[in-house]
Amino acid sequence: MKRWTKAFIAMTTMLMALTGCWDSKPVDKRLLPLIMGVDLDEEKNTYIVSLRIPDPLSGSFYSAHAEAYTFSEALDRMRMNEERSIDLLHVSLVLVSEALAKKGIEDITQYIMRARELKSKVTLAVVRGNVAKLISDQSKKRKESSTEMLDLFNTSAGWTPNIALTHAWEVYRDILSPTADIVLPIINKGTETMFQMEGSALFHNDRMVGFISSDETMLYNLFHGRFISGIVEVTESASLQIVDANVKNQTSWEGGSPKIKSTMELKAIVLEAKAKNVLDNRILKRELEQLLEKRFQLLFIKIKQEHSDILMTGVIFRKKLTQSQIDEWENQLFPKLVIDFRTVVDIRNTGDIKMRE
Amino acid sequence: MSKSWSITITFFAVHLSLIFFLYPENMIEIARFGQWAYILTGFTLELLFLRFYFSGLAAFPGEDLTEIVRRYGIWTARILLLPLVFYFFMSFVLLNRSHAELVTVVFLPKTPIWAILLIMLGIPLQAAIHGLKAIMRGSVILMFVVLPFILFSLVTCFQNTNLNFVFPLNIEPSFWRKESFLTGMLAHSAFLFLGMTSSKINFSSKRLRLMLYCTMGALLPLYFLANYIPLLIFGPATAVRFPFPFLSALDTVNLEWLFVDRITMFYLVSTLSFIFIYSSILQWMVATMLAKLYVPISTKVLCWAVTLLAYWVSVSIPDWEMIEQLIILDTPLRLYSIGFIPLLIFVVGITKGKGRRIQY
Repeated sequence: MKRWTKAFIAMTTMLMALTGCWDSKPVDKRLLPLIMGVDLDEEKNTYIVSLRIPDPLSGSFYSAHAEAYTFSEALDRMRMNEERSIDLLHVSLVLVSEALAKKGIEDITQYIMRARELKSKVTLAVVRGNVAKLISDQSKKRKESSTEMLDLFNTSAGWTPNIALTHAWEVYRDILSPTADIVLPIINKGTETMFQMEGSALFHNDRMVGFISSDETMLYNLFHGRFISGIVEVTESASLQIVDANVKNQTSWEGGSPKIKSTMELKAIVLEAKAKNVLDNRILKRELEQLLEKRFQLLFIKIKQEHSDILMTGVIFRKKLTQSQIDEWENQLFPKLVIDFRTVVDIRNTGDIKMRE
Repeated sequence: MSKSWSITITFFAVHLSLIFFLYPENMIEIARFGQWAYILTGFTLELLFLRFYFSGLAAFPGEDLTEIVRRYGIWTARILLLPLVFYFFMSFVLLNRSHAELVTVVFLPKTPIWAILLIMLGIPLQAAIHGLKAIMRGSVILMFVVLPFILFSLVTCFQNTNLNFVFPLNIEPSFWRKESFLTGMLAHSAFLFLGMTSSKINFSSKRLRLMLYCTMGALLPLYFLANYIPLLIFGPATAVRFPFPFLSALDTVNLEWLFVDRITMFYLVSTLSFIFIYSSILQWMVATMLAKLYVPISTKVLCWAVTLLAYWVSVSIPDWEMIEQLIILDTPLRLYSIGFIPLLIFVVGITKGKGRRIQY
């Protein structure tokens, strides 16, 4: 009998626990936005926040907008008007307008990192044109359930090295770090797909300072080892597909200025060729090497002009720096930096057609 | 499973409960470089004190801390061990209170602290009432369930690391008197619990001591990972801005194929289970020490009393700032317990031991 009493008491206690779900909100009473857009109203100095919320049942989506002095206030206003609760946990893309990017994105990054409402691994991108309009763009380009556009930034789906891929935590890191800067993709409203890539925005600390093309972005991604096979480079006599890339850096001091000797080892295969009968491997190799080296030189001149250390050279150079040198890297040492960039191309094969007869 | 295995596993689990939480923040706060030296120093100190402790404990097989010190008279023992009892109690309170706060930060923002604490103190209480044997059994099971998750999250973290952030390797020379270094010694205080288990476990066995030293060896990489994962992901300048660097590091892990979006959950649930183990040991130790030295009533009643008191203290701590203040206030007690107690036991072992000294 005593055992039964004990069991009864234990079970009743468990029942009590059932009543106390503090945070529970049924799934059908939640809105789960996927994309968040942030724009700046320069006259009123307020943020315009927009959300794109997919509706899995109909395959379409809702959008919501609000304007306020801070992000949380804007979201609060949206929550006030919305019938259902808004849960930002699944937002995986934050779109920032070009105006805001030029003014500085530290506020939004800090909000993401501090509030934990959004994931710190959310992807950031800069939008040319009106963010709110892009987010509430109703024109349905393809028959798909409204979440596909995010696969553009998914390395195991539609991402290619022509797209800069930067997460909020990286932005936060590079704003605080004196030895690194970031690149964010610039997108525009697409004609056939939802987004169209325009290139990438160069940042110095939290401000957008310049622009690089998508070809240069590819080089930037290769330099960081972010690579998936299938990039096509067109030289004078052939189209080559890069299938493997590997970067090695050597650091040294030369007369008070830092020097990085950087070697990029590439493996490529031939996809198309102008010459019908005979292919010369050495020519193909040299053409691709020169193409990439020249592109790198232009990229490096550009980032040096803008003081934007997107190649994270300061981090590469860390082993030869003291703490005080790390602190002054951005202003004193980076402008003096010399990069000796070499590519070594290996043409692995020429596809299913022989090199010569 | 033999006793020596289960005590070894408990020893491991208890350390894990302390490594991944406040320790990384403390070490990263010391300076922007040279973490390896601070970690190694703390670790070597623990190893040293552990050796003294063992040598004392081994001289009196079958007796625990209170009985050994009692040779100098009951009042000497009461006075010398009072700070230790108080330190155990404060660790118990702070450990649970800070983890309760962490739970609200990570996934239960609106749940009141008192409800989280109720569970966090209730489960260890159950184990503590049943004594050391139950705790050790429990820790073996929890270890087997939870360790794979911890290892998995540790491995996935390497996705975002950049090894260049290890540099520069210089050391901040005055690190040993920085507040955060001394606070960080919290992670090296777990070995003290062995003293209370020595009434049941024989530390004069050379094999057991060797096993525990090997466990320490296995823990060293974990001490390093706990610090270096956030450092290598964020770099020192950013990592120092996070109150829970390891947690923020886990938040960056992106695994498309995994069924959970945030791997942080794994980590939190696993550390919580280690906290349960350590909490129950602390509870049991405080109750046993009180019963043997101060208030001769049953340990079961004392367990309840200690838990209720701890619950009351924990609930009345209002915010994170106060937790941090208390951990800093705790520092003298911690240094006394980590440094003085093992030396005391060592000295008792030399002067009053029956000539049985450890052979190394």
